[in-house]
Amino acid sequence: MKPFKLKIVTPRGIYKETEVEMLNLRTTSGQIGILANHLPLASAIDISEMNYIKDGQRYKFALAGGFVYVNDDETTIIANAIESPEEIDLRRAQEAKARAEERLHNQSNDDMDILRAEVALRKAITRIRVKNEN
Amino acid sequence: MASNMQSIKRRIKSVESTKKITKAMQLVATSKLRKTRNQLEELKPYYSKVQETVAEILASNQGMIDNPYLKANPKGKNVYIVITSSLGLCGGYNANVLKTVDQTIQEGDLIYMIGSKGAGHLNHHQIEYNHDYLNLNSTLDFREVVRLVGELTKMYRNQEISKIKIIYTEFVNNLTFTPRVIDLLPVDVKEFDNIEVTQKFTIFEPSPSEVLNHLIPMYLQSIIYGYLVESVTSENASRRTSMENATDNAQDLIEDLLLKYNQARQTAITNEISEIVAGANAQ
Repeated sequence: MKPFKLKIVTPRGIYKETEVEMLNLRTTSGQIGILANHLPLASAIDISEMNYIKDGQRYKFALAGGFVYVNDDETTIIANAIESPEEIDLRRAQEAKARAEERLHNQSNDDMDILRAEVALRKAITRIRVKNEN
Repeated sequence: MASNMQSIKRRIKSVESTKKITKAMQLVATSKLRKTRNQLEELKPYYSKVQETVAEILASNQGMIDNPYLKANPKGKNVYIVITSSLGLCGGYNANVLKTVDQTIQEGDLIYMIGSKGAGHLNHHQIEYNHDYLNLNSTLDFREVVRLVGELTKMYRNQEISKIKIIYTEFVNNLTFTPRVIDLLPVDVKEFDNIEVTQKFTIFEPSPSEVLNHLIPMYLQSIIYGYLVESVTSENASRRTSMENATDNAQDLIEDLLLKYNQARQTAITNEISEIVAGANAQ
């Protein structure tokens, strides 16, 4: 397969700049796969697992939401946080999951709090899944 | 005479210990300055990429997007995010920001204060403010910025607030910092005019407006964080400069006092000699 350039930027600088054969991620409107020479595309990414295939091997990451921008020559992922399985702290993710679940059970009236707990829960679940699948 | 010499000596000692402190603070500020400048550099690719993408979307859908973030709300309060420092001894840094605050903020505006020096100023003038994010300037936690943006954009979409502005200190170079007031929301479309875009046919999933709904909060997070880091950089640079001046002044003072001390010592010796000589002559 023809490789294309992939760049992942976070607030802490450029996370990765590499060439991949295929990129799989979940946008807010569903799972998509990107190959070389894709039409220009802009879309928001859900809190989800993202993976790409490079030299026939699959690399997985936990993505805490973000944005993807596909261009002829380069695909860019703008993410607030991204972690590879090696970087994920399983214990911390499990603690975060327990905390978020507790907050959801405690039924506060503030919908902002519920929303935040939901986001935290989804991030934690994604991390745990990416770590365990590895 | 001897008592004079004693007091000068005591003063030299006290100035010397002050100098040691200011010197240490200067060194600390220098290393912190280096750290925050690096952070600012690291943020750049993220920030410019987000900005580019927003520009791209706006350019390829000129005037076609009906998005709440692009329109000013007629009703509601103005929100100001103000960035000051929590520590003193940083020259005119806080005074300059607070002067701008006094000039721009009107009664009834909502203020999100960052930094306890600014909070103290508002307390003194009995102006109410939000202090949930007071420590953001020392933690520099991106997650907190995400929370702040979430809170503000929600109020904005509910049309509770009409405008969001930020007052921060621009880092021009190591010696020059200027406080500035910047409009965050509504997003000024003109600001993106001079960014180069490719103007290719692009698919927006699911729609340009929906994409903007996601991207604009991210854009706000990145610029607020950027302004925050920039302000802290200015603070550290300002502290370094003022501490450098203080150290230099202390050095000048020590040299001055040393001269006075030596003069006093010489006078004392001369006096003693003339007394001995006078005594010998008298015999």
